[in-house]
Amino acid sequence: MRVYSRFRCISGLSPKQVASVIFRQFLNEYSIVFDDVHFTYPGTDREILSGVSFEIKEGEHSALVGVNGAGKSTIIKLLCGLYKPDSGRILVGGKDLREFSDADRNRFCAVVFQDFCSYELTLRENVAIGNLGAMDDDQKILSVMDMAGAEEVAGLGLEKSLGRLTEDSIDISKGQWQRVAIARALISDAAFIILDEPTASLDPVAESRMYESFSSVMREHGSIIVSHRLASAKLADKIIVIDGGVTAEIGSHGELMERNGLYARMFDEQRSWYVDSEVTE
Amino acid sequence: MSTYENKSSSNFRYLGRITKDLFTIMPFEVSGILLIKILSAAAAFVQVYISAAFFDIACRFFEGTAAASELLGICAVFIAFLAVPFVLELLQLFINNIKIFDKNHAFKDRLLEKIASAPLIDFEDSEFYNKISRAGSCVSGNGLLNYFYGFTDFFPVIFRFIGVISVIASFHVAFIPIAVISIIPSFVSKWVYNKALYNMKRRQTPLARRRDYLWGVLTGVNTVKELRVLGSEAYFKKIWTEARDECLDQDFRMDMKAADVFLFCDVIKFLGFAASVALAVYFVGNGSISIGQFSACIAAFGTLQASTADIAGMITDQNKKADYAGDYYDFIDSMETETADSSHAHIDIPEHADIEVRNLCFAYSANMPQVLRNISFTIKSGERVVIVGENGSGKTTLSKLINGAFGPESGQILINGIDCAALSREKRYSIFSVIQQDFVRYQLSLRENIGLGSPDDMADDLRLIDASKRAGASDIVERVGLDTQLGREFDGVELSGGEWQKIVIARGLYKDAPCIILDEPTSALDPLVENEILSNMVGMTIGKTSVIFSHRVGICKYTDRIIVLRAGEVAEVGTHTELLQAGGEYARLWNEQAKWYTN
Repeated sequence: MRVYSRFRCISGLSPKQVASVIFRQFLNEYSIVFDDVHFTYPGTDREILSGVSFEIKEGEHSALVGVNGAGKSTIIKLLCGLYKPDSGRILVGGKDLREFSDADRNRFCAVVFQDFCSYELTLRENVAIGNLGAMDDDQKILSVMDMAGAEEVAGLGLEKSLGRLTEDSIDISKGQWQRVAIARALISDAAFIILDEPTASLDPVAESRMYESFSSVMREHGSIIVSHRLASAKLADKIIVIDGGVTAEIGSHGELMERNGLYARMFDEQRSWYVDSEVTE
Repeated sequence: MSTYENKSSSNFRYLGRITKDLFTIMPFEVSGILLIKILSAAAAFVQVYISAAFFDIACRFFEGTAAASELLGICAVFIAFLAVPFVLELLQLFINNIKIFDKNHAFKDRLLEKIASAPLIDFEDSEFYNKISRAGSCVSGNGLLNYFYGFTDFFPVIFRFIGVISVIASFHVAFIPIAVISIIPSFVSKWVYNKALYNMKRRQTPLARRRDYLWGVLTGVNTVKELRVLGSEAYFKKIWTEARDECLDQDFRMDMKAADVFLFCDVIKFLGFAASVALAVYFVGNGSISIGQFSACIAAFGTLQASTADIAGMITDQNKKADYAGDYYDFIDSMETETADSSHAHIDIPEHADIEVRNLCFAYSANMPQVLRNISFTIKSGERVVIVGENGSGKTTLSKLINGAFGPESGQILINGIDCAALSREKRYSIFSVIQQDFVRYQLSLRENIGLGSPDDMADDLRLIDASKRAGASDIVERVGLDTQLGREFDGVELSGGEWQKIVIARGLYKDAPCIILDEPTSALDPLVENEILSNMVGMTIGKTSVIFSHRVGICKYTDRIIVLRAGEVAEVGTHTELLQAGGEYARLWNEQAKWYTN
């Protein structure tokens, strides 16, 4: 089934996309491994990561969870290649990340940062920047926008200028920008989509819709979500809890709740606001 | 690049104002400079006559019709006069170096005042930041002084020009028409060029803005990171290059057209020069002028050519300087200021705050749909209210209208029964402690970061510590120390997102205003910190009116009332239990969020 869908995909692809597919086949498996990674931000004293180790298999949906400042965003930045670990290794498909070229790295992960950029360009450009080969592929652009929950924005027309640079450009809301940014990641055909606090600006309904469409949206990709909203962790195959610069707990939601550690505590605290218990004054 | 939206393209448009301003700020120095310029102008004028006389006497001396003493006399005068420009220049240097260029600060002060009194709604407009930055760089770059001196530098040049013409005229009247006709095309063409350039630049502005924006994306700290990860640097480089090249191309084409015209004018000038020389030879031949006068003539024609070129060049430069100076003046003029309480008297902070909103309507601009439509509700003093709603329901706009950042299109906001529009800005702001979602992390000390809530009393340690305690930030204060520098900019201590949030809440509490407004106070925080802050919320808001805007509907259980916004209108108002039972908009929002935590 997978081979068939791969074959079907290849026939309609541009050379760059073919290369990406071949690249993926070239790696036997697309897993991510962090092996005893240590990292301190340049110019600071505090070691943020003090021996983080975990593994995410190809196609897995995982959540990175932890208190503020635990190092979750740092892990993402290391995975993107923005920084290099002080010690320890990061392996993708068994190959050390250091050996990856920028182009290779782009093919394996697409990131939506918490402080993602809103470009003052057309809607088409804003989405297709995630995969330049798809710049003229209207169908693909519209389909990822649909998946990201951005149909309303798509209704403005792909050639619409966004932002405030020109007179006829229109500025959309923060939540809508976030959905455009997610579409940008989805269009990339990367093996892993990484979302850093994707629902921070979204209202409950939009957030809920995002979780609901999650499994279908992420079908073709593995994912890593960094989030404080533990509802997203519940959906993940694997939850990685970072505490004190190391991996404190790894497991599924059910497993970690049973374990009754940090994750269980955080989930309970968040849940207490919604469950009818005694109102504390 | 200045805004070309406006008025005249005349060089003189700011002359009156800048002269007035400079005389107000530094009368002594400016008068001194003006005097020097006038003297050097006069000297240039006289110089022409002295040269002519020198030539004349020298010639007559060699012919034998003038005495040696006369020659020596005129020689001495000539040499002395050569020294005059040097002396004047030294004097000018002296005056400049005393104090003049420091005095830009008066212009900067005025700029800051204007910015401080700008209505907050202007800051929604990115063009506004452009204007501020252009006005600022005009002042720092001495744009205003240079503009002024551009005019004063004209004097010597103009006077020399007039001197030359009158000398030539004194030899023979016939020279005038030739001289004048030969140089007119130059001036006319420059004038036409300036106008055309102005119009072109004006049309080019959107393209130039795009070019500058794209350059900003390619070089900005925040964007570079994303560009690298997406692999889209090449794309941006491509479209930036296209925009840049298109601008350069337009500039080039303009210059090419201009070059043709200027060449033509130069040819005419040269023909005029040749004709004048021929005429001078003829007049010498028929005895109308002497040999001495002849040599003076030739020199004068040369000077005329040079002067013309100078003046033409100065006109163009002055035009550029006027545009540059315009960045400052246009900005100062374009702003409506809000009524500020200029007495700076101590405002008595009221004890309590009742808020009533009546028929409030608002749109960001006249041609955009209304964001808020006929909103009405009351919040009693001491109540704890949460305002919820989907993205686009108007929550953020409402929070800005309540705290006074924007003014309503129609309708009223009454605080303690008084319409806000009648309150001065200071009075209005004294009622609220606003803790924004996009709060500022000042790269200053911890004390200042909290104390800025009430800037006049930053030294009150006990009060600072109390505010931190209520905000749940005592451990941070203990660990870091009140007088420690925060933030990486100046090698200070960096706090995590949650820690900053607590400090900013402390800042809001420090102000001790009767009404606290919190805008998404926990959206960036992990569950444990969020729990802490929300739990503290009850204690921290006792006795105060508090209005919380939040997506996290969980907090609604512990508040007195909930106001639900939908599509710019008030959809529901009530307590948590009431609204859940009602099964309307609130129930929908609640269930959407709660369902992920149950089962």
